[in-house]
Amino acid sequence: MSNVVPAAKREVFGSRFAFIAAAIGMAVGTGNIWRFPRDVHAWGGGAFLLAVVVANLVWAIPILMAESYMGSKSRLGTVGAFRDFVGRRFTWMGGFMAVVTIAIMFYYSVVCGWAIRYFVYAVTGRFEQGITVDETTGIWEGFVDNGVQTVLFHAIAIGLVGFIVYRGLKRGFEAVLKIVVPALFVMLTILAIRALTLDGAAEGLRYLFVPEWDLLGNAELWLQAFAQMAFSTGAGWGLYLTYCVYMRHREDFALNATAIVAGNHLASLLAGIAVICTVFAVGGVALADEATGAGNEGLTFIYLAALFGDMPGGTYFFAPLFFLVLALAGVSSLIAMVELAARNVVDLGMRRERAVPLIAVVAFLVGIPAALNLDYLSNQDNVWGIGLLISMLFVAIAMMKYGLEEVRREMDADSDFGVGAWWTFLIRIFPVMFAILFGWFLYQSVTDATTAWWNPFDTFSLASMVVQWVVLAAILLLVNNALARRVNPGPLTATGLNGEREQRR
Amino acid sequence: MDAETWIWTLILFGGTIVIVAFLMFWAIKKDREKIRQGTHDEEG
Repeated sequence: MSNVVPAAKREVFGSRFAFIAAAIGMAVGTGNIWRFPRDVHAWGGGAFLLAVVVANLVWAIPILMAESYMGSKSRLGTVGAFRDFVGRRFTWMGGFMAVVTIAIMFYYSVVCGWAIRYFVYAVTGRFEQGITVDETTGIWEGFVDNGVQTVLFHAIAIGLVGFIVYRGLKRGFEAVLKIVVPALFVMLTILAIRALTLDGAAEGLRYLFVPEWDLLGNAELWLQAFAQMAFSTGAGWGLYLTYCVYMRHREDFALNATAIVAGNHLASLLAGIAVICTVFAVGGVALADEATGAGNEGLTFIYLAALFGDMPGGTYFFAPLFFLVLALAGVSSLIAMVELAARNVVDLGMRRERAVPLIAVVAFLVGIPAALNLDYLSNQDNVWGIGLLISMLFVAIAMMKYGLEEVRREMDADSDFGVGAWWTFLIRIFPVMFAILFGWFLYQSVTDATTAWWNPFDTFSLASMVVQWVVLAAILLLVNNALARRVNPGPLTATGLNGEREQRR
Repeated sequence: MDAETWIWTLILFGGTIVIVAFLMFWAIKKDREKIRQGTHDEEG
């Protein structure tokens, strides 16, 4: 295509392996390690896995392909990409996507800080042989109630990631991620093998992989599988779009997205084996139910921490290794979030050298309330986690508005396997799938007797979400024109392709 | 471990490993072809 900026003017990933590794690092996060095993256990093992595979195929891969096309063709962050793909009046959609992910970044840095703290606990032998669940509960409560510590480790997490992103693509996140992500898989494999060699691990495997076929007829299982896929693959976050700004000319769209989703799924399965088999083998069936029902933090920081003390080699090798994996998975995703923020700020005209430190400082300050208050963190997780579904819808709308057939033809020309009518079909029906999933979520929220859905000050209420989304959308609509004007032009803007489209609208 | 667990572990876990390995092999092979043909950016 004639509208590609010459290579000398922009940085690109050095190899396809480095690009895929970075993108898998973006997708693999703490959710793969602490949420996925719980969901699989709760929703019928193999039946849930089959539903997740379907969700990956019909939702995650098509959306990631669309994000990939937007990033690589616009060569701009989410705000500029939406301006050039959908039109200047819809620049706010890119802003919404960016702010949702940045809002997640604020508290995700706190979560990464927890993982780093627990790695330090583990390395210093805190989870010694014979440690009980009561004792690990005490360690967890002592840590989260100590504001100085949670803020300190939040600062360490965002400082470390800010430094990596500050160094840019080649010397920063590409250099780090192409080593960290393969290392993450090696460490997960070691943990999975250790769990598999424990007496009683077979019961965990049975829970994980043998389908309960009856459950496949349960709508709730499918909705949970789609929700898990939405949060796990990175589809709709704008993170993959951001990395694709650094894609090489004539890079593939279809095979890369498929490899990333499959790689993310493999990481989830390895984590599932490591966590579920350890819980079943060391704790037994009764404890497994208790542990997986204790929430993400409960499973990881209380039950697993206690179980490592009962596992041969657990205290000084497997506990540090597990929490290192958790920390690295979090950091590899946090890198992508900071880069998304940096890309958008750089597009607004600020130099990268100023933008990244500014973002790190703002992320630290805005993340402090989440570091000090678990209810606030849970609220933000709920509000912006569900907000990602709206971002996904925006990506599908962008593709439909730009022209599905045109995009498909261009993707097909560069992809290593054919992008057929299946892709256009899946994007077209995306709003229907969205309506079902979102409608189900609304129904659950309104009928949930444990929360006052109408109260905007209730941590998990629907009103809290809607109010925050509406405020964000209203602000973005107000500044829409200024955003559209101030974001630097990209290749699509510069060649007038978008200009012609604008005139037609 | 019973046969049913073995079979489903092989299908769902083994299958994922095979698919990921195949996709990565295919991606790297195609990448080398594109580099040989000079269709990537020079920086790549």
